Amino acid sequence: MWEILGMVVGPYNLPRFSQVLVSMFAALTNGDMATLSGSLLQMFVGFSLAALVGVPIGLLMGASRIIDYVLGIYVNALFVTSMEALLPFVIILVGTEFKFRVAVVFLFSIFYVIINTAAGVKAVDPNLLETAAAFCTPRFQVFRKIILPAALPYVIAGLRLGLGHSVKGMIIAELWIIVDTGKRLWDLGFARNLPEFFSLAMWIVLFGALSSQLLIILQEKLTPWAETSGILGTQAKK
Amino acid sequence: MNLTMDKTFQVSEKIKTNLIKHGLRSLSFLVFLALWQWFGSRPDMFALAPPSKVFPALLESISSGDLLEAASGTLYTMIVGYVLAVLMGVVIGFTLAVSVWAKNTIEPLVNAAYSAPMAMLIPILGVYIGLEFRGRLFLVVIWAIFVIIINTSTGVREVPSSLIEMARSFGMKRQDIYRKVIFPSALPYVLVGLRLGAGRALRGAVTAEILMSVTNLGRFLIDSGSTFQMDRLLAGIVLVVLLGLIIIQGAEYLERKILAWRHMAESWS
Repeated sequence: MWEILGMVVGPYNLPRFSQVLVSMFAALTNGDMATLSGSLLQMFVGFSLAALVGVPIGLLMGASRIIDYVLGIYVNALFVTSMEALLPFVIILVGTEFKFRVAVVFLFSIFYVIINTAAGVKAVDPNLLETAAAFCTPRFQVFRKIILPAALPYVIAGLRLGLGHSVKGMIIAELWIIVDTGKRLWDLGFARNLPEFFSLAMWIVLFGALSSQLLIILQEKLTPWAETSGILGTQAKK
Repeated sequence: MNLTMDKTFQVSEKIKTNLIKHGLRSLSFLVFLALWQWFGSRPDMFALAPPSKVFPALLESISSGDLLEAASGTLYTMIVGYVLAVLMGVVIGFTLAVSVWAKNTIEPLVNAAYSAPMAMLIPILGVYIGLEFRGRLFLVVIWAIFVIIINTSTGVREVPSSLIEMARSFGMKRQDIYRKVIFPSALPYVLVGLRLGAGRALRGAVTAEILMSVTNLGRFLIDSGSTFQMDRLLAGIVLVVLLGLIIIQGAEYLERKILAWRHMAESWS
């Protein structure tokens, strides 16, 4: 359909699909790929930070109602906020270098991680906890043997959502300060080099989909006991 | 007798937890403000204006009108785009659920678009529709529409087939089945989509104003940032956070109101 549409409206308006495919292969060698992978590397730094900070906060918020009350308002308020509005502030706080992109990716992804982790801990079957309490299981054991396995699928689902938003954050940050992949996108857009623009866009989508798929596989490997479809379904509604 | 005592006990317990909850929340907010004030007043933290400066700045920009004007411009873009996204999204989502052809051709595209970073399209939007109002409107629509499509089609698909079968066996007309069985049954999902879409529409509008054409709230934020008027910048951010909270809370409230019959039915059964 795309191919036909491209032929009809002409190359000036929409490149043909075959042309985009050709430029996708060209992108492997002409340096676009290096730019993109550089950007992705920075994104992963921000994302790993978000995961390292977000998962413990989420676990605490899920386990303790007091912490939930204290922190919950900020997490929820920032969760619904347009992170884009914070860009001018972040740039003054940390500058435009490497730290800026890491900070933006961090902000874009961390709240998904926190909220899903907390939801996972809260969703632990209360019967299991009661049984454990009846057997006087030590707190640490309860945490490690009951809460962690039950919450893990949610944590991974949160990481997956967070990763998706990391890609969005990275693109928005780079478009805004005009560096690397973002700069390339602007250049191609201004030069109206549509085949290459679409090829780069396709690569970004592909990388996003690939990494999210990796996390799904990881989830199935790590938590074979979880009903994947149910959890992913609830996440889609969130 | 025993039962009523039990009930009053439960109620007082509930009031107590509510008190603790709100007490802790307000306490944490006060601590947050105090910390912010303390950090912001330190001379080496020029980037962070203390709340004692931010809130007067917020009031001042509201009373002088420029912040309100900017916010209403942003909201206008957001609302027009959101209405468009709702109209198209519900129709497309419904089509996806009932037509196999649409499911096979359009649904993969919708899913891909939902998870893809839409912001990367900004540099070429200017090529196709321009960067002015229409471009921003388009961005709001693509920001909000996919979550509406996906939730609508999920909702229509999740209608229990036994309900439809029963309606058929009682000789209900096709149109009536849609109106009286499928619509109420899919409504909760659709409303979730609409609520999420509202939040995303606001994000889309702000993104468009910061990245595409600098106007309204986006201009307010960027101008104050680039002239280092930190109090104004933070005031703008506070306003954006509040707007987001109001929109989401409002949507949740409406959702509960509309679905009130459902909870009643559940508590009766």
